[in-house]
Amino acid sequence: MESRKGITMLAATGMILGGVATTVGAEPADRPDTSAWVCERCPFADGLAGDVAAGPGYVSDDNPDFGNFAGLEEEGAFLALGADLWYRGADGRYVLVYGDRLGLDSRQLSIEGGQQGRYRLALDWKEIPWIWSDDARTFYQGAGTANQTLPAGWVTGNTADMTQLAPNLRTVNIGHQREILRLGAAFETQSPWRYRVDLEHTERQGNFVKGASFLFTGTELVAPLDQETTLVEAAVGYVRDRWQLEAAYQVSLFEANDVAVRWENPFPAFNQGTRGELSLAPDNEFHQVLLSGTWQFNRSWNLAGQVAFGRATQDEAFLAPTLNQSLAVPALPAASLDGEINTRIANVRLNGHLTDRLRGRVVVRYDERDNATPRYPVPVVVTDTFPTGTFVNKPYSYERRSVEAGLDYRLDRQVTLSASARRQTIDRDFQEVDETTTRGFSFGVRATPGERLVLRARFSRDERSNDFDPALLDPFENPGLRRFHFAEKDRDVVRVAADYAFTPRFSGGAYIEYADESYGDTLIGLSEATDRIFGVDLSARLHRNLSASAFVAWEFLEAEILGADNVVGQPWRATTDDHFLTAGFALDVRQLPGRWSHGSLRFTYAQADGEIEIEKRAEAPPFPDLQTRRFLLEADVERELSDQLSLALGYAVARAREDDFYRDGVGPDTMPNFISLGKVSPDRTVHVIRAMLRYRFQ
Amino acid sequence: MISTSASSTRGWTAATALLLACIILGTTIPAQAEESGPGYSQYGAEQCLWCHAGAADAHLMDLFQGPHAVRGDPRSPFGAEQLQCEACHGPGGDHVGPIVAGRERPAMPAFGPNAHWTNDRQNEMCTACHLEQGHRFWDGSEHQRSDLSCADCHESHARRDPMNLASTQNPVCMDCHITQRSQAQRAYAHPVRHGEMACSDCHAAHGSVNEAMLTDLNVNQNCYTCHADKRGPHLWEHAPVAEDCTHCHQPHGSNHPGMLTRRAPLLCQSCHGRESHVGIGITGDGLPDNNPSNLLLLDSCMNCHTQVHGSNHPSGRALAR
Repeated sequence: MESRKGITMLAATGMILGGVATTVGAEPADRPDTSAWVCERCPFADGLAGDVAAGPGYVSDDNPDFGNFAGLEEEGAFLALGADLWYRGADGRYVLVYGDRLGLDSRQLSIEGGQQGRYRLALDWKEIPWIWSDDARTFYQGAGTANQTLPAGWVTGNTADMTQLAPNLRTVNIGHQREILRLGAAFETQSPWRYRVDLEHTERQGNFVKGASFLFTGTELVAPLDQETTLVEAAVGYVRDRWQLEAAYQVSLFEANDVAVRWENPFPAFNQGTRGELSLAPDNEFHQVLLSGTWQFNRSWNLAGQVAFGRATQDEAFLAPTLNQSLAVPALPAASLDGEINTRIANVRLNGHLTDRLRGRVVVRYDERDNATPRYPVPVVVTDTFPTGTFVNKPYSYERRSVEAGLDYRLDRQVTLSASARRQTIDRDFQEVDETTTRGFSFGVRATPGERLVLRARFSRDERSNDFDPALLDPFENPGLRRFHFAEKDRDVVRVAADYAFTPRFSGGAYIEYADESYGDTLIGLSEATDRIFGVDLSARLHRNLSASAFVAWEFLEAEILGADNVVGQPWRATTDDHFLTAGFALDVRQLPGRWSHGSLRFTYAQADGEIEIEKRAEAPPFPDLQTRRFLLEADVERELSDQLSLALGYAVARAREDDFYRDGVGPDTMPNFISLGKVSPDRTVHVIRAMLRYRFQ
Repeated sequence: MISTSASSTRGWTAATALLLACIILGTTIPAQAEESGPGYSQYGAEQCLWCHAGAADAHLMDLFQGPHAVRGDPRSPFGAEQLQCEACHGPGGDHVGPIVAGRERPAMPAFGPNAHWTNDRQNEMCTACHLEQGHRFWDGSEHQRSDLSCADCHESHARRDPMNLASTQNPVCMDCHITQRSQAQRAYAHPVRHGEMACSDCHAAHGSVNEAMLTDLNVNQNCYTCHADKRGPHLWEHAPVAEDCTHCHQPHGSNHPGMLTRRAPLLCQSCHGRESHVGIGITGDGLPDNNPSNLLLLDSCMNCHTQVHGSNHPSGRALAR
């Protein structure tokens, strides 16, 4: 630790010594007497202005993929409604109103008002729908609630024997709605003091999928989702020309209205395990005091930092170890966890202009998660079927320390070189690796040879070592396993990018990035990962009122995972290759002939292929490719009807297709020991039209 | 494995090299000669609009509907006794003054075609007023080091700066962050392309001392802002989850449900190779046409170990309750 401190001090000393050199700054011109400056030509716009737009729209087909997050998932008519209004008074008082998609489940409404320079009040309302499926099927009575039962007359056995399964299947929509309310207030005075309070309340309601198992049998459950999160941040700041300081108190309160979901076992009950209970997310609280500040020593040097002390607590009453009354289970050692995590975080950056050509910085970060949760001997029952004894929980703590020092050197007006070195150490509890150390460096260059070309290149290398102790590895774990997040690793990244202005109106760019991770000590686990990215961008201003842009990008993510069946059994090697192609173009017309005022055309296409291969001694059938294909074409045009009225027309067509062998063809009874919800991968097209009348206030 | 003493030696060597570089480079390069600035105009904005009130500059007039032209705010460029256009564009005396026939009119020093001030200096025109907390970490930030100008992202003449709305902010960010633009189009991604989430919900574009310019102090605190249900602490923790969400999730978009970096069981087997079913290399034999297996299909490992973010159930040690 002393060594780290020393290195940091040495680097900082170097920067300070180097920074003795003077810095530049143009002499400000003498401030004129502006008391006689009267702008009669300035079109100040006091009063109400803006526009509201409303009209009908229609969605041609049900399409959860298109409607996800957008609120256009169902076939039928909808109300397209939006507003962008503002009122400004000469005294600085103002009200801004912005509403978008107000007739849909993805509506957003923002209202802000106050007196500029003195105070500001804000209210934001936002809804975000998320849809997992509109074609899933379940047989449970009470699906989506905290208590789910089998249909009357249920016949147990393997899925093939469940004669009451098919007759009782019914469609269930799966997803949830997120509703967010934000309130904010900020006050400014002529004094250096600043005050602000922000409150955010989020409700998530709906359902989601949870796997629910008894030994090696199970089912996909539609679990209830009814959660609220409240965030509050109150801050007071003090602002001077050269330094600022803010103290903030942050609170996060999470409440779930369902603590568990219970379900009846549709499979033959082993050891009388007829009912199970899954815990849902427990209520939790987080409180944090955050100090933030900057200090500009002079024109050359500044110090910026944040220091935070937080505490997360969770004390939800424990559920019973099992609902199986036939099992003899010792009493729990406590009624609740009394969980507590103390966080201590400090991120500090010293940044300076050593000369007019040389800049330097040192960033020091400290991040501690001190898990003070008590350790309990807890009686454990495996999936409500048999007790396995008493186990003690392992409250996980870590401590991260890092330091990075970097220099940017402007060689001349066209070339800037950069270099940095970094070191990060992470200590962890209850792991076979107590400490990892990562050392890295990077070099970069930014060059502008000529007026038209900008080149950027960067190379970085990181090496991670650890103090792996085989004795701490779980005795049932393969001794060759090295978990990827603390395994020894070398990582190299190269990125080259160029932008070129072919003409003042036509420019393009290209970039290549290659990242390689090698886990040299790993015999079992993730052993290799690479990422290759290529892309081309073009943009053109074809006319004063016509602009266009296009792009295409490819990314190839590849990884190798090594394993062995049953530790000493057959070794295997798996590879995953995800290939992506994304492309798009946009055309914007500011002025069209006649009374058509403006229009736009946008197209995006996204394609992904995932290949998974596994090599074992015995021949095995290959996996099909995972595929997604999506495109979206949007066209908008607006026609002036009068000085204050216009007609906005919009059309969109979207298509989504997905091949996912994890779910395709997996009906509720496909697997003998597991009942699925039978979700079908999307393969749908949807058309959306809308016509809105826009009225402008002037 | 590298010993502590060896690592320390390396660290000191690097730091010493850095020290020498700082001192040598910092004291041998002469400072640029100071320049003298031009004077201000005689009549302020009135004089600017003699030329800039035509149709070609119509879009500039939106300024008078926005926050920069509020006469009632003494800090606004058009507040009482303020410098109006020159508050941001710098002294325009040369620009509005007489020129010799055939010679090009001098550009305004800041924020305009051929502006000759450095981006850092132009930005000072903004930060002189925008002292609020969001801008305090600009100096030394990635964006500052990349020589970005405030005007590269912000439209000070617009009545509503596009950076203030997610739907108009994200395309601006993605003009440069083109890898993320593609990742946002993937099948499983945060609703960035839908305009429901802004890049600034997670990243502090004006600078942050946190990794990846995050708005919160570390990755997980950032994620917990919207996903507070994952915070715990839980009785049975999944250590990598508590440490860093990005161990398993790709927040900018993925080809796999839940924005996972790869599919289970291989994702799980990157860290788990125990005896029994955990270590088995699952092949296509588990597909529906062969011997459909719940160790492979649907959510694979998570069909049973469904509580991968941690469990508070006394019997949730294997994350199955």
